[in-house]
Amino acid sequence: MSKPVVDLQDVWMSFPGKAKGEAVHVLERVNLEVQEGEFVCIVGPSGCGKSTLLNIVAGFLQHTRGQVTVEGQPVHGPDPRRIFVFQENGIFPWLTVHDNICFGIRRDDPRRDEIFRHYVDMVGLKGFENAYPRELSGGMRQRVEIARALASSPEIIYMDEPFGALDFLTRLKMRSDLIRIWQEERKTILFVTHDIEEAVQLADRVIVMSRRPATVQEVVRVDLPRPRNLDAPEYLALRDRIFNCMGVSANVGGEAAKSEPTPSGTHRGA
Amino acid sequence: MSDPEIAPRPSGQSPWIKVGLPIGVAVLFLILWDVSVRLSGSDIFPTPFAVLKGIGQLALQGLLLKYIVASLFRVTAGFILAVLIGIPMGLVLGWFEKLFFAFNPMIQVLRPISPIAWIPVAILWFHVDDRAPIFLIFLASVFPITVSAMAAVQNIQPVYIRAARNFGIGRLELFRRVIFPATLPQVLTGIRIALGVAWLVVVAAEMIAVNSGLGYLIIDARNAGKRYDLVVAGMVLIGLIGLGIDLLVRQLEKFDEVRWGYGR
Repeated sequence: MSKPVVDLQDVWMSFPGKAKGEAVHVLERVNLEVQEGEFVCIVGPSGCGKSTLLNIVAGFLQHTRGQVTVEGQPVHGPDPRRIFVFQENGIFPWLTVHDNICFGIRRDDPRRDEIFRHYVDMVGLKGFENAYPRELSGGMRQRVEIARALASSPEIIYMDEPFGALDFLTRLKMRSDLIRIWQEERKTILFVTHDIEEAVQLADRVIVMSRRPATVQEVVRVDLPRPRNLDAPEYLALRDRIFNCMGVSANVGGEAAKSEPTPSGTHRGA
Repeated sequence: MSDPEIAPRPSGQSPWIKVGLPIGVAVLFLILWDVSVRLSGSDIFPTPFAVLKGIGQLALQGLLLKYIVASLFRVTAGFILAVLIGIPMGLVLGWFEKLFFAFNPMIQVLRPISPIAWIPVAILWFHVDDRAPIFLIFLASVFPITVSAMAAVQNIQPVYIRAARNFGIGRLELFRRVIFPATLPQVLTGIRIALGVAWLVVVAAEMIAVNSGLGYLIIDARNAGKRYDLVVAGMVLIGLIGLGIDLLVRQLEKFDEVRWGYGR
C-alpha cells in the first residue's frame, strides 16, 4: 500500500472543562489512514467528536497529543490545498454564485473563467451565476460550496455533515451527484456524517467511531460497485453491520441487536 | 439561513392601502388641528393654513432654502466625520479583543451623555461658529456608528472567517473580502440610526450657537415677535426632512450586497 495522504497516529483531544483543572476528553488514541483518491466516511453517535476530529485534520483545531500528518507534513493550520465544506454552509451571502465559486481561484489565473464555467456546470447551477445565496434553496447553496471547494483545485476535500440540513430527497440527489463528481475528479474526500446509510452509499471505507471519548471502533470496507444498489443484500449486510456496531438495530424498535455482541470485538481499550 | 425557500416577505396589502391609509391619517390630523385651534380661539398658535403661509413667506424671502441648506450642511459635515472615524474604530475594536476590553468601558461611559450636555463645552472650545454644531453632530453620531461596527464584527459568523482562511488569504484580504462585507448590513443600520440622532441634534445645536438653520429659525421666530406660525413651520420642515433622510438611507439597505443581512 502506498503512503497515506492523511495519517493520524495516536491522536488525543481534550477541551478544558467547566471546573478548574478538569478536562473533557473527546478523542482517545485515534489512528486513521486515508489513501490518495479514497472516499472515506466517518460515522459515530452524535456528539462523539467526529466533527472535532475533522477540524483537527483540517487544521482548525489543535489536538492535545499524537501526530497528524497530511501529505507528509504535520498540520499547523488550514491550507488552501485542502478545502473544508461546512455543515452550516460557508458560502458568502454578499457574493453571487459566480463570485463565491471564484473566491478560491487566483485572480491572475488565465483559466479563471474556464474553471468557473466547468464547475458551475458540474454542480448543475448553470443559469444561476448571478443569483445571491438567499435566492437559492439549501441544496443549491451546498452545491455552490462544493463548486467553490473544487474550483480552487484542492487535493483533499473535508466535508462535515454537508447534507445534514437538507430534506430527504435533496439529500439523496446530493449524494449521487457527489459520487459522480468524485468519480470525475478523483479527489481524496474525508466525509463526516451521523447517517449510516449515507456513509455506506458513499464511501470506499467507513470509519466507525465509538462514544465519547471517541476512538476508531471499526473500519468497514465497502467493496460495492457504484452506483450502489440500495436493495442489494451485500449493501444491507454492510449497513446492518455498522448499525450493530453502533449498538442499534437496523429494524427500528428491535431490541435484539442491542444484547448481541458487536461483530468485531474491537472495543475501545478500557 | 435555515429556511431554504425564496420568500420576499409578502405584506399582502395593496399599494392603495399602504399609501392611502397614512394620507388619510395625516388629513384627519390636520382637520383636528385646525378645528382645535379655531375652537380654542387662540390668536398665537397657528392653524395648518397659517403654517403653510409662513413657509411660503420664508420661501419668498429666500430664507427657506438658506436655512435648510445650512442645517443639512452641518449634519453632513459632522456625520461624515463620525463615519470616517467611527467605522474604522468600531471594526478595529470589534476585531482585537484586547483593544475592545481596553476601550469599551470608556465608550460606554461617554455614550449616554446627551450631546445637548456638550453644548457649553462646544461653545467654550469653538465659540459660536459652525464648528460648534458640527462637533455636536459628530459626538451624537460617532457612538452609534462605532458601537454598531463593533458589534457587527463580533457577530460575524465564524464559518465565514474559517472558510476564507481555508483559502489562504492574508489579513488585509480577509478584511477587504470578508470582514467588511460581512459587517456592512449592521453597520448600515448603525448609520441610519446615527443619522436620525444627528438630525435631532442639529436643531438643538442651532438654537444656541449660530444664526442660520432650522433650529435657529424656531428660536428666532419665537424671540422676534412670537411668530408661532414660523415656529411650527420650522418643526414641520424638520420632520419632513428627517423622513426624507430616513427613506433615502433605507434605499441603501435594498442593495444585494447587504440585503442578506436583514432576514430576507
